[in-house]
Amino acid sequence: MAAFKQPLWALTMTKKFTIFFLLCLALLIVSEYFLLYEIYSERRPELILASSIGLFISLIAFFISFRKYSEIAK
Amino acid sequence: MWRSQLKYIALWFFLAGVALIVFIQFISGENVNRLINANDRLLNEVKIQNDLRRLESAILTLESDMRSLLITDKPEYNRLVSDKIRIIERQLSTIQSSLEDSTVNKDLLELDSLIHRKLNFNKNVLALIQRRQQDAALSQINSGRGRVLRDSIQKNIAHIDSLRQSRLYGIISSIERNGHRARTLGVILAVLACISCILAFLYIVNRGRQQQRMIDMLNESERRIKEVAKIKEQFLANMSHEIRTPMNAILGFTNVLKKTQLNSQQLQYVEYIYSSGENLLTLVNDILDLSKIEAGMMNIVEAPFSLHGLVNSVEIMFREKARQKGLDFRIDVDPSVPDTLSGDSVRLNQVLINLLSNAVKFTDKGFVELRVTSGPVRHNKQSDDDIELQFSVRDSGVGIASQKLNSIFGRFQQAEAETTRRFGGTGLGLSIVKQLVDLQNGYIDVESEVGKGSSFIIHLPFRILHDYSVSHAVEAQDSEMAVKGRVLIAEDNAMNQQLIRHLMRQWNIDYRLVNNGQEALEALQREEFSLVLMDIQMPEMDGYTATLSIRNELDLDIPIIAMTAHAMSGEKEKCLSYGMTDYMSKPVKEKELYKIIQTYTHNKKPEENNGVQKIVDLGYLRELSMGDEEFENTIIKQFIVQIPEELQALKQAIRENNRIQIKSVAHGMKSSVSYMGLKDLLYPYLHRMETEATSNEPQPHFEQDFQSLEKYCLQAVEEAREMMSNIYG
Repeated sequence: MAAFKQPLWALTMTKKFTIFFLLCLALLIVSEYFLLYEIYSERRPELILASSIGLFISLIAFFISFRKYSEIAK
Repeated sequence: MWRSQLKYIALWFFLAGVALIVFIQFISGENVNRLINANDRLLNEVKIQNDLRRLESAILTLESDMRSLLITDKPEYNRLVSDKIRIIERQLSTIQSSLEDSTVNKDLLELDSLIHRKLNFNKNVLALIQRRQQDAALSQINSGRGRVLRDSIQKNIAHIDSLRQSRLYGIISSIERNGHRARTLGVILAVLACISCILAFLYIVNRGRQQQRMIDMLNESERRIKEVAKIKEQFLANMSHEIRTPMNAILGFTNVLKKTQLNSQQLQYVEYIYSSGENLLTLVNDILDLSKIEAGMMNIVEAPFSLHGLVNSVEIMFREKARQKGLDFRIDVDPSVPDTLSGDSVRLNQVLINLLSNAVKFTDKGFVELRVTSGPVRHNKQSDDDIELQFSVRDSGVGIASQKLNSIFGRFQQAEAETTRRFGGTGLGLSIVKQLVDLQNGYIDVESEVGKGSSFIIHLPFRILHDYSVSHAVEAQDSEMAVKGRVLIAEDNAMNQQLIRHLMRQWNIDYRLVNNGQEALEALQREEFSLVLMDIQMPEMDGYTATLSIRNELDLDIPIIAMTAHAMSGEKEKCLSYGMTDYMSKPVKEKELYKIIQTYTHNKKPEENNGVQKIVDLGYLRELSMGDEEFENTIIKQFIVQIPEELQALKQAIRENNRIQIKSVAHGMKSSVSYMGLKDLLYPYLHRMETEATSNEPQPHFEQDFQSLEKYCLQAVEEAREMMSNIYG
């Protein structure tokens, strides 16, 4: 069977997941950077807390979406 | 399980790796910032030390400049001293601003005080000089206050300098520390990057290897599938050959046996043997057909054909069977359906025979009907000549349960297990029908109700031929040609040899029988033959090699007919590629064999009836009667009586222009003439009469057609009478 060719911009399931993974990765990097910056410099508790939460959320979101993607891709 | 866990471990490693890289990068950045800051501070310290040196130097030179001014009294020294005092003030303020927040504030304040005191002292001396009070100025200088102040300033500057020096060492060691840390982190980052690259490389290589392994496995399984398919095909070919070879003898000798003097019980037993043999042959043919379709070697050959002729031949084939079961057998071809079409008539015939034989088999009472109509207009038809025909085969038989309708087209599938026990069969017929219809770009629908009957509707595309004449009257005349010349037969099977001997004697054909290809070659070298019937699988030399030798070594263009039990797809093409002229598969039918011998010996029998060639061909009737001479005689007698009556009725109807009657009589005559082998000769006339009568043609050809029809029919009746008089003396 000839494969149905999707246009490049079509948001397939794989592309959606890839975008989500990249966003999670960006959130992880930014929140970790802010956390370290605050720990090393200003040490403002509210920013330390916010960046820690961001870091935690990014890790959990990455893990859950990866599990979902693995189930779909089976 | 392990693979799934490994996937999540790899994910956590990846995330931890990203976090570690961000951490190291951040620390590395911090170290670089510290290095830059320390460098700035280092430069600042160096600058402060330089400023202190300059200040100290200016204080020292100010003293000597004052003395020079006093001694020389030159105005330029005056200006020089004033400038130096301003420079010292400025440098002091620069140093103060540089050391504003430092730990040397106390020393700085003291320095400030000492310098101001010193400057004030020098300014007083300068004022005395400017007022020309040289002595007073000299005594001020000699008082030693200026020297004391100078020494105090020097001491203070030395103290500040020593303090800044220790700070400078601190900065230098901090730079060194940060530099070391930055280098260590850089090395760690580089190592991490290397490890990541190595892991990524190993991962890619591993994936590539896995894919390659899968490709290899797929290739291997494809190779095995092909091998298995080849073995299967070979097995089928061998089985087909092994079954067909004895079947040839069984059916042939049964046929011969039927023609001998037998009592009715013996005749019945022979009939049983014959029909069982035919059933077995049908099964083998069905399996071969399926195998051909699966191998994609079943080709659809488009050729012109007469639809009415085809339908009529089917009608003749089943009318008698239906009559024997007491069924009402109906055939209805819509008059709007064109007669001459282009399509694969062989496959259409096969489909209709399969469906009708099922209908007759599964119907105990009621009717079996075949209707041919024009189907709905196809949206994708390419021209006006494209037509879709609908063939409906209906019966009032046992029917099929609705839940079984989907599975009946599967192989070896019958609606119920009881069906096999009650009616027999293998369940291959409908599977073949479905695949043949698909091959012809058609489709099949089925409607059925248990106990009420079934309806199979086939939709098939055809092309209408307008200018093609299906009048092959001459073909029918070929059946009584005689054979001249000598026939060489190469056959190794003793029973088949016996059968061939019998047939050749029966047909009065001069022949020579040899056991293999080698003997055939030797015979051809010694004697002259007009035809070779060549078996393929023979000891010493097979049929292919023998044919190659005949063509290449003996250089003979004698017709060679392959006569083999190999009936698999491509066998005919293979035989022809070796130089054979034609091909016929075993078990051979008498009529078929005789016809092919006639065709290739090119000699016509000079048997004529008062200069007119005979047109009656009882071949089909004999095939239908399966040796039942009583049935044959009844049909011939009926023909002799019925045809003149029908001609009379037709003549009357034409005279009265009663078109309904013309259509009815012409249609009825089709069956009558078919039994006597006149189908190809008379169908065109009968069909045109029927069509023109139905369509109310303003200028019909009734008269012309009737004249031809009457001429041939009367001749056929005459020939039939002769036959009867020969039989009954």
